[in-house]
Amino acid sequence: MLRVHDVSRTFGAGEHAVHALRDVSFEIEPGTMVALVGRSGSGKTSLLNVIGGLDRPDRGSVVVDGTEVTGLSEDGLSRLRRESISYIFQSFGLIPVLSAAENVGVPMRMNRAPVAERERRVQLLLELVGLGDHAQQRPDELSGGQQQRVAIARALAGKPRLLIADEPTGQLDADTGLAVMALLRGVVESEGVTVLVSTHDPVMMALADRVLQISDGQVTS
Amino acid sequence: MLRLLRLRAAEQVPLLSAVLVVVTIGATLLGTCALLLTVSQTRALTQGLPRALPQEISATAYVTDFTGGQAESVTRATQDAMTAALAPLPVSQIRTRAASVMRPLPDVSGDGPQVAYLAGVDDLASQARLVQGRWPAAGSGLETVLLESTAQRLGVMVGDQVQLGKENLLEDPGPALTVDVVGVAQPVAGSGWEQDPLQGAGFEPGFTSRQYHRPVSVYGPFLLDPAQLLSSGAGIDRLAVTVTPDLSDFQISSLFDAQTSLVEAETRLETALDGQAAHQRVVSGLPDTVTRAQVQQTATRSTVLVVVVLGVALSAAALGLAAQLMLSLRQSERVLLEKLGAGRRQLLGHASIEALLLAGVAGGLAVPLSSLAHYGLTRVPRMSEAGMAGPWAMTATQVSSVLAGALLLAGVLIAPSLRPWRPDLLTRTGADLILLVLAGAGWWQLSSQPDTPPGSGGVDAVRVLAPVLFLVAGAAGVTRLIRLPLRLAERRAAGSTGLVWPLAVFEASRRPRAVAAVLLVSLACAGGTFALGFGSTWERSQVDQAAMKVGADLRVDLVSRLQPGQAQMLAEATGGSVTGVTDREVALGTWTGSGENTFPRLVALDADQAGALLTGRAPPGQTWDDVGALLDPPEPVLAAPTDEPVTLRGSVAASDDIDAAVQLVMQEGEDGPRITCELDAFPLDGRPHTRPVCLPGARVVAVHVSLGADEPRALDGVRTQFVLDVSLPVLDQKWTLTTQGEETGFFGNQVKVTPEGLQVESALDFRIGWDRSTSLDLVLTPFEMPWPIPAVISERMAEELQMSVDDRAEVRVDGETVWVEVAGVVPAVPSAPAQTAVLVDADNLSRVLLMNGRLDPVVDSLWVTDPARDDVAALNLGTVRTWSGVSAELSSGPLRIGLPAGLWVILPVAVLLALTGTLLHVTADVQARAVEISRLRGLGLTRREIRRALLAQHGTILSLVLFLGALVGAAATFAVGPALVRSDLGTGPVPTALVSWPWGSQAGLLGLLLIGSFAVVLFELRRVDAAQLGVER
Repeated sequence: MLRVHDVSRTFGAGEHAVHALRDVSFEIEPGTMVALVGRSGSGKTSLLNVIGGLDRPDRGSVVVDGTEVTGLSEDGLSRLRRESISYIFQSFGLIPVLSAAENVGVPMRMNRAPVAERERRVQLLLELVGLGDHAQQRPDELSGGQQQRVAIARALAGKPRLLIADEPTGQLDADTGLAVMALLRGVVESEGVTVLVSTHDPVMMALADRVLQISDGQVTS
Repeated sequence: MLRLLRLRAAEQVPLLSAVLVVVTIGATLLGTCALLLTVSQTRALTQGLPRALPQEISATAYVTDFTGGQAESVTRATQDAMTAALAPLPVSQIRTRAASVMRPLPDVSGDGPQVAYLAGVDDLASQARLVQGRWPAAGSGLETVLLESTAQRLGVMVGDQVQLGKENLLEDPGPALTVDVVGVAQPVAGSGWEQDPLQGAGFEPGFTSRQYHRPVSVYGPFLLDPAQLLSSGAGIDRLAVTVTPDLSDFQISSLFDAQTSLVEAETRLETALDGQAAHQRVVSGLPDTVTRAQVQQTATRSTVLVVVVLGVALSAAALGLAAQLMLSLRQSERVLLEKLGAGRRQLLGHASIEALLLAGVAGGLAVPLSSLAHYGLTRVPRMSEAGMAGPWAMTATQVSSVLAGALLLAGVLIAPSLRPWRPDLLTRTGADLILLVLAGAGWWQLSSQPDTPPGSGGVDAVRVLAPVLFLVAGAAGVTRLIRLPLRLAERRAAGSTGLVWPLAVFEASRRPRAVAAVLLVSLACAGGTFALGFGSTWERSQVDQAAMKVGADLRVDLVSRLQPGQAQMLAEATGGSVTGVTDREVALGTWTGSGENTFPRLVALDADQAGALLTGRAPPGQTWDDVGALLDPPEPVLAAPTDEPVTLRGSVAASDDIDAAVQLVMQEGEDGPRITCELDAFPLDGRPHTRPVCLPGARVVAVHVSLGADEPRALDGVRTQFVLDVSLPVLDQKWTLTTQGEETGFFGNQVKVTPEGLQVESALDFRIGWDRSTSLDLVLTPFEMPWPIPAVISERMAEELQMSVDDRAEVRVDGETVWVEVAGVVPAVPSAPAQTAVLVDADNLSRVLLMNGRLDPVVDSLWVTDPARDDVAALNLGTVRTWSGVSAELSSGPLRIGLPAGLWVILPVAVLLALTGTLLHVTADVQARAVEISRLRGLGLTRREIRRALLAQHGTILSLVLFLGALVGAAATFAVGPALVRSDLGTGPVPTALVSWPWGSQAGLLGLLLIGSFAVVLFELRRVDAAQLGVER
């Protein structure tokens, strides 16, 4: 499903150069949940951005579901993110002026899904994350956990093959974080989605099928 | 603290620069307006007053009836008193014109006393054209120049001497004089001959003089050097001393001092003359002219103050937006400082110091910038042509206005530090509704203002605040109103399949921080739209007022009686069609108006030409042709041009000692003005007598015959047969014979039209008195007496006299009563705006007067239609006014141009602030949504789609706001614009102002704002990049 080969990424140059990723290589099987673990500044987000096509590596290749990501144009990357990859952000990344249902519907609007189909799937996903009664509420009317669940529902709305989650429980308390993790695990089981999640959370690590350690821009295990 | 401010400023350069720009723009506006209200207003007076007509700024003392022995001392005292009356203004010219008392002409015989008078006129060469001989020399005996008409009457030539008898006075009569005729001259019209006893006619029979208790035949003037006249011992009947101030370079304070001094001038003159003269009177147009100028300046001041208040409101709105953005940008810093122990007072201190620094820098920039703006503004062609371009100006008032404005505006930045504003402050508190109520009250106050000029020259607060309140309330209303279309768009977007447009609409509709920007942009657009709309309305009103004031494309107000050929001369000079018009003050019965200087006016013109001739706005739903038709102009008199001399033959059965003086009333062209042609008297001896006509080619439309006798008493009470043949090329129509006065009568209307002309046979009752002044007068006319004549009256007359259609009024014209019947009421009569006025057909009026024996042409003015040229001042016929000239003076004269200039100022300010506000808003929005934008990229939205969404979002809001702002500006223009227009007299304009909507300019402004705003949005959206994905880190 995902193959990362010899990826390097450096920010800046000369004395001030920061080597965010150094010769990173690994592979992930479809339908698995992989935890990317490392300290702050170890290169987790840089690696996720490169995999998601939000950033380009200086060297190396990333293949998602058979597609070489690093060779894609801007539009190709956008198409990849619409069709194959979804993101879940630490700060939820919901659009403040949209209701929960509207936020979940964003990926389907991008793919110009018919209105009826969109509404049905949005309701289904909200039910799935347990927020069927909160469809019309705006993000600022929801708790942190509820917002992250909406974000998960939105990430699933586009039927992605790869779901990238950047510290999804970082802003949640322990119980809520656990609930969110359980939800993600459930999604892997029910939807067959591959999940790559960066985390500090030991519980998350325990729920993952595999744990990748990253340190100083290098994947060590 | 300063270090914190410095570091923060270094981090927030773009935002602080934008704030500095806004404060500087606001302060510059205030400085520019301060210069417009001080330097430019002073310059307007110094440039405007010298453009006034001489009679509008000069002062004339009229002194009557003093003896020859006192002539020199009275004249000197009068000149001194008048010079002092204008002090401290310097006097550029003193003109003296004196006319002596009447003296008999012992060598001239005729009916009744034959008298003459002397006159001394300063600068005679500019008032008369020498035909023969030379001008009289000073100090070389009593040399005189006669007018050509006088010389011909007297049969006098250059080189002759004329004896003037002793004055006919009981006390101290001047001795007999002998004058040497050294020249013959013709008077130059428009050069002051209206002050001559005969108005330059040279001769008048039947003149009423104080010295004689019956009408006399007067010849004159015998023009002398003024010094010669005053030292000749001749008693002076009237002395006019006219002083003209030198206004080429004067201080305003001197002008006001002179204005005050003139009020006391008559009393001082009386004291100076110490009873030497019977009467003295001082007349000056200067006080009224200055007052009128001040009234116009008040109107200009009001408009500039509207600009000031609007500019401050705009700047404050922009700064309110900036303050809000600064506050949100510094929220984390504020929290940090509070956690570090900074108190509320300390934070306020930070904000205050920052605001003071900004005010200082902005003030420092705004002073030279406002001087530059004023300098540039006064060099705009229209301002420059009005003489408003002065030197570089920097005044204490300007500097203090700039600094005060900068401080005030910078204070707006501190306000949120005291209490943070909520984005929906306006709507939540209901302030927008309160503003709406205030605007309604302002509109009501403005609409119900009396139609009178301002009293003390002060600025009317209602006129300043009403438009600003309307605009601010409208802009506040836009913040509510804009929700409606956005909600509709939101509904449509919710049911669509795409993302970009719905996202833009949802953002536009639901994001509350846009309120401040909406307020600013809509107010700027409304202000600019109003400035353009009101400016255009004002300009149009000036054109309309000028049209109503002048009445025609071009008019020449005659200073002396219409002379044969003058109308034709004017027609040739202008290339237009000339019509003689009666335009004078009259009495309506015994009513002479409701106040000082409010005499009713009579305007009589050729009603058949009303449509082509009149330039004022026609009454609603009518044309001037319709109004002309109400005046029921009679069929024109059918007469053939008369080229040949007239042969007259007549007799009276009872006497062969009677002669007849015949006057032909002739008309130039088919519808030209009528003038009187006086033929030499002939004896009624049954023999033919041939007399030349004075205006060959003209048509005879009436014949006046005056019968007299050397021994009239012999016929008193006798009824006898009278026969008169007049050879004229008359056409076959009915002629009527009428007599004047109750002393005479005739029996039978025996006027026949023959191939040779007119033949009169009638029995007459002779009740001739003892001299020709009560001679028997007959009038032959090819028409009946029209009675009453239809008239159209002004609304003001209808209101003041409670008159309506079919009512009748008695108009006194030249001592004759003319009955008019109201056929219609119009808002105003052209050439008599805002006055009680009567409009009648000139032919009707002329017929009534002719049949009453008033043969003098009642033409006061020559009006020209479609002139190809208007430079006719050289003809010296009188005062020339053109519609275009008056219109230009009203809209672009020095005293008026300040008003449009004030409006020009607001336009760039509105555009700049709108664009600055847009930049601030979009910048803040993009910054605030950086994370959200990066997330959208993460969700798969392309950079192009994100830009499209942002452009659609801001574009939708801006387009709607600009459109609604333009609607508010339009509503303000229609609601309060016409009420803000004032005439040059400070009263409501006549005709009432109508909104003129300059579509082109408005589209240009809206387009500029739209394009500018979109450019600003696009410029900011360039910064939206995938790099913003790193923002969260």
